[in-house]
Amino acid sequence: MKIEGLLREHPLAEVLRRIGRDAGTGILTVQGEGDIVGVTFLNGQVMSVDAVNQGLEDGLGTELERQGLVPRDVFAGLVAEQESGKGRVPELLLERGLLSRDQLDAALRDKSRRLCRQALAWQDGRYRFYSGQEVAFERGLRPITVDDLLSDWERQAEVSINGGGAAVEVPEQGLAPEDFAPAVRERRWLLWLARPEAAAWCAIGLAVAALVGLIAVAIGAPTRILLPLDGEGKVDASLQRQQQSAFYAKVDRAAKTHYLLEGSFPESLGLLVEERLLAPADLEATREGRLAYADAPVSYLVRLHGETDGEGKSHRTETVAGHFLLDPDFVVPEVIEFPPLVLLD
Amino acid sequence: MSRRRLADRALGLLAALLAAMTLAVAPLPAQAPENEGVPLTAPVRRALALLQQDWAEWLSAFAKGDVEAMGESLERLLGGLSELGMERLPELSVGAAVQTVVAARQGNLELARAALVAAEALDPGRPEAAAAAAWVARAEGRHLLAAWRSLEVPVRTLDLPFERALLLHDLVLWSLFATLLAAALFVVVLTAARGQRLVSGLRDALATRLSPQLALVLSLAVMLWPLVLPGGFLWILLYWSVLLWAYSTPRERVILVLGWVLLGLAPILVNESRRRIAVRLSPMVRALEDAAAGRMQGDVFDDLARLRAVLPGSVAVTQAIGDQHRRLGQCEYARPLYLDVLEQEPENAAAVLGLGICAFERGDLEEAIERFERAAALDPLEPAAPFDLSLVHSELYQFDQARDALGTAQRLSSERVARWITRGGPPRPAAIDGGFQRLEEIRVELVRSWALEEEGAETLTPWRDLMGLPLALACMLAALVFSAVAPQPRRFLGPPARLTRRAEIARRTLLPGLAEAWEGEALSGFVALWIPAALLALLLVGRFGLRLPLGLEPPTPWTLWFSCGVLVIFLLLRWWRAAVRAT
Repeated sequence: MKIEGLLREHPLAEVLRRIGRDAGTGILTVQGEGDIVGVTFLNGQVMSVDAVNQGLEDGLGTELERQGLVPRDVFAGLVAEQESGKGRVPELLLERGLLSRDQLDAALRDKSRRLCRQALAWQDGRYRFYSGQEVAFERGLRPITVDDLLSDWERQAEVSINGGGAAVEVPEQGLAPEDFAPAVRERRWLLWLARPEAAAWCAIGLAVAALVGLIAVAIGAPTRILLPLDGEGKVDASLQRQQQSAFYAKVDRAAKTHYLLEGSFPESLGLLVEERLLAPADLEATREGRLAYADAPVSYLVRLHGETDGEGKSHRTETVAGHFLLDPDFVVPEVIEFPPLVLLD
Repeated sequence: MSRRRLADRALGLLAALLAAMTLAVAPLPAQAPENEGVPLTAPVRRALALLQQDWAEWLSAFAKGDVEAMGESLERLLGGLSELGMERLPELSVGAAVQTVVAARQGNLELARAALVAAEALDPGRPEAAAAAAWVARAEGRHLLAAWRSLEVPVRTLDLPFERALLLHDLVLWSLFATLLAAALFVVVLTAARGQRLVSGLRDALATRLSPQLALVLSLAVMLWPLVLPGGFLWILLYWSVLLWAYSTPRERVILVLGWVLLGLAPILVNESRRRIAVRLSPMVRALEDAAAGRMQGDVFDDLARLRAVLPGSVAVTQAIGDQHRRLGQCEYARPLYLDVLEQEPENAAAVLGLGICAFERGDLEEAIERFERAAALDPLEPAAPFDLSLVHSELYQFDQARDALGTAQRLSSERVARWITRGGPPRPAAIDGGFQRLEEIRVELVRSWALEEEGAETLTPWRDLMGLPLALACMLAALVFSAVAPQPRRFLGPPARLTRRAEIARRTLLPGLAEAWEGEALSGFVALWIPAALLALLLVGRFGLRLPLGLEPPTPWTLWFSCGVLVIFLLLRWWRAAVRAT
């Protein structure tokens, strides 16, 4: 049996009736406006209808969501499982208890009717029937007669013309969780984990956590960024000693400038900050803690808190001795030996 | 500090100094302290004492608000300094800068300006003078000028050898920190942009045997296991960079490789910079550097004495101290040092010239001629020896020889000869600071000496420095191996959908690097990350770098202002580019 032609010459309804009347077995392909629809016939009855441009999610998934049975993201998770070889989506729907056999059957039949209605509306296109002895279809699926399909189409067209009984519109973002059964709601997040979005969000979560950690390390322990491979911290310790040396040089310049102006060392480092000889941040210059300071008439001691004088690993004592601008003894010249004067009366 | 208190202090200091000066002219029972390393003659001591006295008078005039007397004291200070053969008094310059701020804060701008003149005159170009000028501008209400003057502080710092060395060390650490942080941020951005392919790929690979949910959990465990290592957080970024290589574009791979190489080089660069700066932190080296630049620090004699004690056999140190004595006019101390140098280095032209100058100063013109002729023969391209020879011949009324020698010197460098002739005072012989020119040699000797080792310049074992390079190589090999077996996901989401125009502009502006990563623009993405990383590094440089020993803080914290300014410009540019793209 060869059935082939243009829809303009033979509308699809006529073609479907003919195949039904002839009890044909095979696949009718209809290439129409923007899509190709395949109608699987077994002994003149329609077993399934599929569209090339509509995957499982667009077809069955949309239908199940429209009926409030399976959320879109849950269905997408099942599709991901099918792609990873876990089984076919209809089987997974039944296995997971998301649908009963009847519900699945009804959903598949509704999907077929919807696609058929879509194809029946086409004015232009080509069709061709590939007859055969056997066709593949969902096990346990109840067939739809051509008359059923056509009467459904006519009824829907009538409803559409009269403007009533519109189908449930599914919003773009999907139906709300409360629109679904409790069992479905409970499994929703578990099934979401199987979706590509889950991996994307995991990656973004890891990136955000890493960003927060990185900024915390950069601010809290900047040398870890500079020397991440310095496991024993030897270079870091050496850098720290140099930091202290440079800091002591700064304190020394400030303290001696104070001496130059006041004739004595400052009573505290805070005074040097007030005089702008040190910056406030300088008082927290070392990573080991704050500094202790003690002044004396011609010297001062600066060291880390908790370290005793002379025993600490990091302390500095400075004096004005030998400083030609500060040391009062420095200006004393060499003793000049005068010959004794003899006074005669 | 109140003005009255300041006046009391200054007068007290002046009284103490005048008392000391009074003692100086009378016989004293006590022996004056003598520095064994760098002895000083009585005239030099008196000149130094006069510096103290002039400074005290300057302070007193400042306290009284007598600008004219301040100017006179300043003139005397500069004159006394010139007599000592030096050019700058940095500590007094800083002191004058601090007094500038005191006067500016009190609202006495005339006095502040007079103090600022002193700060600039006592050591021209010092950063503290710029900081003081910023304070004056702020007191005048010229905040923009104050900010500009504050920015001048780091620029002026480049003119000072010690501070410049610290600044360069900080620059090395800052650039390294900024680039490594940017590289780490680049890995983070790659994780956000390409990570879903990695996670999906791992999940799909594991899902052949496990449920997809368990596979996802295990995939995350595979991603996060380095957290159990010590210091795991930073290792994890390195680990992710290796994994993400397989899913990156060729340009992104280039940046990843450069990041690994830099990570490997970081210990070497940090250690090298640390070793270089260790010697510069030594007060002895700083004293020598200052003396070479004509800056007279108060403890220069002590530091030079310590240097001589630390390096007793160093010819370079001996010559440098000889130079210092010659500058001070202490030829009786300079001469034996130069003779010591010539024993070790008979052809040292600068030492021969120094001996000639000493002979000239004590009136031994025959020896002077002999030394100058010998110096000219040893270094025929140096004009100082023939110039000095012309002076000796002039003294001996041998005007033809004097003219010939001067002509020779002018042919070698007319510019330098003109400078020697036009300098004030009676004609003086020109010298070469041969010892001060051997600073680098002295630094090397110090590094080798035990003294510097004691000061914490210990060297780490070289193999530790080099450990990073094999690690970088291992990263490359691991990335190549993983890319050969990297699981590809069956499905993954593409770049995020375009948002509304405003949201898209905001996203591109505020998330640097991410949009570029989605679009495969690796280099511009890295630059977009480097700029904020560099600004953060600038604010943190005090935590990992060395603090500049500036004697006066500017009113405007220039690092904060500079960082904020650049950040605003950076965000504005990104906003403008995003708006253009969105249009």
